[in-house]
Amino acid sequence: MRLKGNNSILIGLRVSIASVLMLICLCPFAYGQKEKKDLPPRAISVSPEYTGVVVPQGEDVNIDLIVSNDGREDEDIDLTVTLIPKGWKAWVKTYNFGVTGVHLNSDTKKSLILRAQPDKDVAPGDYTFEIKGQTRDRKLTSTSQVIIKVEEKKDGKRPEGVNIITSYPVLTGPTDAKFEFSVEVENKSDKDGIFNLVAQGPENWDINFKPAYEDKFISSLRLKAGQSQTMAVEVRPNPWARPGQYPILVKISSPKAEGQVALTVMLTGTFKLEAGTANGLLSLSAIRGEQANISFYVKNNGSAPLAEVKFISFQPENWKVKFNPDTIEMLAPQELKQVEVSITPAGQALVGDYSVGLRVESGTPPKADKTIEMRVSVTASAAWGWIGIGLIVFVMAGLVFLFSRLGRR
Amino acid sequence: MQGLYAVFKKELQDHLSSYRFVILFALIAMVSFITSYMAAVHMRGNLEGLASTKFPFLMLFSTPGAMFSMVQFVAFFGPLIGLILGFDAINRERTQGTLIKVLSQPIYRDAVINGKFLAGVMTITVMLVAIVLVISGFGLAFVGVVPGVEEIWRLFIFLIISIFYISFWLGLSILFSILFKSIATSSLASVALWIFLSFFISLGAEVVANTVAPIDRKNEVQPEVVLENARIKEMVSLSSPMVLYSDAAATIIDPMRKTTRSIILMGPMEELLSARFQNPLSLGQSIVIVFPHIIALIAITLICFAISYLVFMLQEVRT
Amino acid sequence: METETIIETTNLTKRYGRQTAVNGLTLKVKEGEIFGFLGPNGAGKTTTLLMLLGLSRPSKGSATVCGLNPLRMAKEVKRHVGYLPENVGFYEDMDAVQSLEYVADLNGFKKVEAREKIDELLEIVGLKEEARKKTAAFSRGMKQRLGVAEVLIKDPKVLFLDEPTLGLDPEGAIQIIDLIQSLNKEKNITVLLSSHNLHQVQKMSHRVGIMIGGNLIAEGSIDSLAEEKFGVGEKEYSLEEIYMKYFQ
Repeated sequence: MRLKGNNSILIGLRVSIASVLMLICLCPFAYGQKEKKDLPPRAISVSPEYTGVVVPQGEDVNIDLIVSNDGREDEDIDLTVTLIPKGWKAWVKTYNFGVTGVHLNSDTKKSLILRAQPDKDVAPGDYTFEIKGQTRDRKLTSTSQVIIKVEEKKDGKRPEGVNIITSYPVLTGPTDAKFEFSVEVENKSDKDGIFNLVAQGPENWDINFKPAYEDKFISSLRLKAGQSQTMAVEVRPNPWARPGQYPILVKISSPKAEGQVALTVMLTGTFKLEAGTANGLLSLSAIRGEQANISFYVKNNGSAPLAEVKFISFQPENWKVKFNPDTIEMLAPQELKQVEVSITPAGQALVGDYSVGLRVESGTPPKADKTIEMRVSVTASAAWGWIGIGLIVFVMAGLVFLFSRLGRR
Repeated sequence: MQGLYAVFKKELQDHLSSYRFVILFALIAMVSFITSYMAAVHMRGNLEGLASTKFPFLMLFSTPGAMFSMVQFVAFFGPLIGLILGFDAINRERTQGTLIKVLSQPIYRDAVINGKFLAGVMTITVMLVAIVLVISGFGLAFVGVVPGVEEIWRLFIFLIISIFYISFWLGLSILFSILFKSIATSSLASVALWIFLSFFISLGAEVVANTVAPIDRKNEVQPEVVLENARIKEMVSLSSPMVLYSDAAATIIDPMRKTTRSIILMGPMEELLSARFQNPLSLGQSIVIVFPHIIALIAITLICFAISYLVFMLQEVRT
Repeated sequence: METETIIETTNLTKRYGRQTAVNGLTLKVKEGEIFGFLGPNGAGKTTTLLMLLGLSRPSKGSATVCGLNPLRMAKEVKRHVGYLPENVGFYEDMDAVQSLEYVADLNGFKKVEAREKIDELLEIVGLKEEARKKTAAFSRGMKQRLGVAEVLIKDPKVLFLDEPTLGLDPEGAIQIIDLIQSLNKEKNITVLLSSHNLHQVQKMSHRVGIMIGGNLIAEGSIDSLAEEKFGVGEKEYSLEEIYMKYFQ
């Protein structure tokens, strides 16, 4: 299992993002209600939510830090991490930025985060951090300690924020195909979260996210803590895209975590053959036993070149169907070639309409094919008719001769 | 020309008023009428099922009713009309002494034979046209099928072929009436030849075919042998004007008929691919198929007449 | 009266295979004449008549009728020549008028024209009463008279009569003979008749020719024949005697 992305995890109670937000929102109300209370003139406190945490080796640590002004005056409080064990980096931050000072009105609290980042070589053991809050006039100081106990890492059990994986990161297909990557998203954190879905792909490609087995497009995904869900990434390449490899980066992110997975589409190009006659007529008449010619075009309507274009015909027994040329070595995309076909019905064929199928296919086994059906009207030769008419004329001439020779008696 | 016209007029009057002709005409008209009636009844019952047929009108002529179709009937008994019109044309006049009297009038000698032949052809034409019109009218009234342009053309060609066919027998009987002095001889000879050409040839064809290409029924039959047998049979049969006529007429009347052969060898592909489009033949193609038949019919008719003409013109008046 | 030659034959010969029917006949008949061919059956009389009509082709020699060659101009010759064949026949289902109408038709007469002519002719031959009788019911004499009527329709210049009195009773024969003579006199019709009846020929012919076995053995007026050829006078010998004399 390959994991990518930010390894930071919230430590402590499994509190959902929503709960955190609620906590923040409630603060002003609490202040309003306590206004009449008896408060000391000045009092501040800086206290971590947890004073001792246990983390696996190499894991970043975030600990909520509650800074409160319990006095009647508003205070500006400077925050410093006064004690940082060797090999660690630590600072105070909110979600967005680092914090060195905070302004607190009377009887308010602010929730901040103490972030501790160990170096890779930080050994298991207890590490003590000290955070000091001091009013601007240095009269009041509040110090608190956090002990982080680093445990030896146990494989696989490392809890992470969000995990996005796919079993088939590379799909191959023709340009006009629809590629569907099946992606599994797992919320590994202990908080529920809403995850945004973003994909980066080549220009003019159509990339959409779909829940598994559902036909709608989504752009975000809500996952409960520890839940995993399969979804599909549907990719429709630009129809004019050249064959080749195209990377697609799918990113999933929530405010607290993000993950990404690289997908690859291998375009083989489309294999599409088009065949027909110039005027659209698919019928011809042929005298039995005599060759009739018609020409049709073959067009590569796909985006990949077609090699070995062959012609196959379906015709009645004893008929001859010949193609000229009988194969086309290579047909580039959008290329048009004219093919002469000569159809010779059997000499004994009955007159009437026959169906003759002309099939064009490329490659073995065929990658693309197209069959056109020709209606061949077999007619009998009128040559004998002229002989017959000649015979009649001859007989008539004989009669006329008789008339002229004997008629005047 | 006035001699030709006088003979023609007189002969036509004779034909149309003679009892034997009127009786035969009535008989043929009646039978063909009944035949078409049967065809019409048959059609009316089946026309719904025959939705694919494109030429319902022609079926009046080509559908076998009780026993024959109209076409078959003309093929069998049309010759009798021709024979009856001509078997005593010349020798009766010779015996009763009117021939020499007529010939001594200021006319050319061929006016007599031409007039007689033309009068016969005219009688045949009138008869056939009448029958076809009656049946057509009947079809219009009873079945309610209206002929299309192509159907009318086909009927017209059918009429022409029929006229030539019957005229052939007319020419033949006139020839016999020239060759034989006795009416009895000429009539017997005509009828004998009719029976031979119409009925015995088909028997003979079978005998010839079975001799040349025998079908061994005990062993496995090769399709080629059957085909060869059928081919020989058809070749020999074609020497019968009746076969020539019925092949030609049936093909003209029935646009779905694509060959005159009775057996054809067809590969599975051929069968499949030709069944794809079940189109009737165009009139032109129907004609081309039986063109040799039509030409042969016209040729034997003309040749028969030419021989009659020649013999008559060169014959001594007295003998 | 100036007379012209209306029939002329030169060396006229007809052979049927080896048999010679007429052998080198050379003859002249003048306009207005009644010429009688005499001879037994098979002597070539009818053959000669047919050759003169153009109905039979001579094997050799030539003939002229009314100045026309019957071989070339048969139709024109037949327009001027009426021929009454031996044992003339009729269409049995026609009556006399129809029969005549047919002949008129063959001669190219118009219908009205023909009707008048037919009435006139029926009068002449004495068949007015029987005009609407079927010819099948006609007696021999009536048939012969009807035959003459048919011949006369075309207003002939020349009449060929083949055995006109054959098989008639004496009365009928006399009627026919009278008819012929009156036609000859009134209409100046040249008559060429053949017969083996000597008396009748003798009675009406101006000249006779005697044919035997295809050869014309004698020709001339009966007087001259009797005197020149056989040395007998007419007063003592009839034509029959001359005839008999020849066979001896």
